Amino acid sequence: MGEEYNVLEYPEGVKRAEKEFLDFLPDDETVRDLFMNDILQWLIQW
Amino acid sequence: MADFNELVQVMGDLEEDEMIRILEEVMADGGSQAQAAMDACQAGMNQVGKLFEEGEYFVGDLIYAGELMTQAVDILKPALVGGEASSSGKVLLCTVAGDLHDIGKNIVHAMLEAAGIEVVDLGIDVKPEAVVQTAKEQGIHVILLSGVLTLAVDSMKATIEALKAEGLDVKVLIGGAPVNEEAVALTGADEWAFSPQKTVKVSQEWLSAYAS
Amino acid sequence: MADMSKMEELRKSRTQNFKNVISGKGPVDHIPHFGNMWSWKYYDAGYKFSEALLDYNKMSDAIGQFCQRYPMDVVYETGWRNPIQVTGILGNGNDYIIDDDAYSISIRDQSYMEDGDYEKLIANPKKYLWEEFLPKKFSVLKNQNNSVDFRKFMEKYLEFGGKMGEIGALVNSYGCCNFADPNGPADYWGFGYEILFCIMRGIRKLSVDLRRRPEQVAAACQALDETFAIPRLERGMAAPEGSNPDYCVDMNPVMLAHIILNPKQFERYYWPQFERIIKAAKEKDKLVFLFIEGESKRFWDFFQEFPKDRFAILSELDDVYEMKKALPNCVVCGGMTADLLGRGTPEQCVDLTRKLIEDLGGSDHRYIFSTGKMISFPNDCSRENLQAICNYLGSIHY
Repeated sequence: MGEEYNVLEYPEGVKRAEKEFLDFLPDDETVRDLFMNDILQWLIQW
Repeated sequence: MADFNELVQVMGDLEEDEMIRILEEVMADGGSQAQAAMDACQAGMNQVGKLFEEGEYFVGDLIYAGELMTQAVDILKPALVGGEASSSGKVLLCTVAGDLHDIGKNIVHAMLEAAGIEVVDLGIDVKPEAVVQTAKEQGIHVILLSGVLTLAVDSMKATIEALKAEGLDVKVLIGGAPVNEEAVALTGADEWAFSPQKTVKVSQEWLSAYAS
Repeated sequence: MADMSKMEELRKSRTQNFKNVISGKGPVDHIPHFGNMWSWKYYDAGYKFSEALLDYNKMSDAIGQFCQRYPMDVVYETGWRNPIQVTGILGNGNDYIIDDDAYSISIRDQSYMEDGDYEKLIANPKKYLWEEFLPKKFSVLKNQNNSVDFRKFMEKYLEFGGKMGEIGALVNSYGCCNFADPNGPADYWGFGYEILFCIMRGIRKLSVDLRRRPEQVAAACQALDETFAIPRLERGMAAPEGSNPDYCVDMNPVMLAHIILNPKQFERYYWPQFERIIKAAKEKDKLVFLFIEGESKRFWDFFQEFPKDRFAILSELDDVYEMKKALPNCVVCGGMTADLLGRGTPEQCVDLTRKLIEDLGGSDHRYIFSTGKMISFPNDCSRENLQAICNYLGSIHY
């Protein structure tokens, strides 16, 4: 798993989180960026 | 010398910078006209209430008006006699048990104070026992119950039943989204109101009746 | 459980029927029942509210019981409004308060965004939201090694998504429809002004902002729209044309934050999102179900712009008869009251249902039955009343 990091650091931490958490998605930056954006929206709104 | 007709107008028009300018002028002059300024602000708030009833102003405007009124009191307070405007009576106001909404209640609070009525505001999610105890301890006869959720009607009923069970001489007005004529019959309230202006008017009538 | 293929056929025909009511393009074989049913489902199943919210199996069981007991076309809320097991991992940012006695869940006015944050949001919205806003809302994320906590959050978030899928399948197994396409061109309330109102500034602060700093509000809305609403629209516009056959509607905008606006402010801050929705509806042949909390009458001049035969509207507090008259371009939904549903008799409920259908459906039956209020609390509904309505609606075929 490696060392821990600040997921919220933008854009580096967010990108790193995409790599770690979104490996179930196709290896397509656009797809993963959109999914991460949806997570951001969900976290803001709920 | 501050122009109080202008103050009424700017308050009614919700012009914050102009309101602050005039009030600071009053305080710079020594504050001897603080009460007259407060009266003018209250008259301006009456305008706001009227415009809301007429459909010119909306909830956002009422919230902003409340904010301006709070600022006005903060500026004038040091110079007001006894720190407060003279009161035409005291009412108890709260959002009933199970309901956390307070925007409507706070708007009504500001309007009542603007009309010179002292408000004992118990806040939100207020159990019937707290309303009974406060009314009893402070000798309050006019009770204003607010709520937005449909469950508020049940809480209003419980509160009114608790007041009656205690044998208190009170009049109760209920207000908020779920409230209508049917809710008055269901809860045992004396009146209902949708607009803050009606709440103020009914409160004034009841306070006057109890005072005489 | 009933024959699965029969239920799948029922789901499909109900979905198409719902579309036909809105579009007028095909025959309407029954009046759709839009179940505006919220936490009452868990009460009816006999669970304590917190019990249902904190255990997905119990939540799922309650929803299954509901579908079985009350056959209807759409069960609107299928657990998606219950995020607390996920947000609880990060410290319950929205400060949800569950009251088991009142059977209510509430949140206080949320205002994590400070006055001075407008400039930062406008300059770089994603940077501001990730780096500054989220740790204000979820204090657990303030620490620099928050990947530990974020990992736990992702587990719960994906679990929640999985559960929503399972419950969706459960609801389908009773012939109930999938309601709104989650990948449609517009989200429920995922655009700038609603986000500012509901979560970032709150009702009090935003009411003041609209007067004190209107230009910043407009710029903040634009920044948030460029982050969320516009990419979603672009995704939606790139998708195939035509209404998604698996869902009743393609977009389900929810109006919450309009309550503080006058018409001029609505035009400036709110209408741009509707312009996006209208664009998608017209150009991609999509259907829209607009859900309005509170009332909306002062904005009906704007609603005249909704393209004909694409919009259905459910309003909590507007008079459904007035709305039908004022907006012939739209299909109305609603009219049953929580008062009657909770405190009336079955006969009274059926009588009102009949009247609503006759008055609002017209000869082409283009009306959707529902309550205006979100049915949440014990006295909002009685079992026998809802069953009487479901039986009555189920008996009408055209």
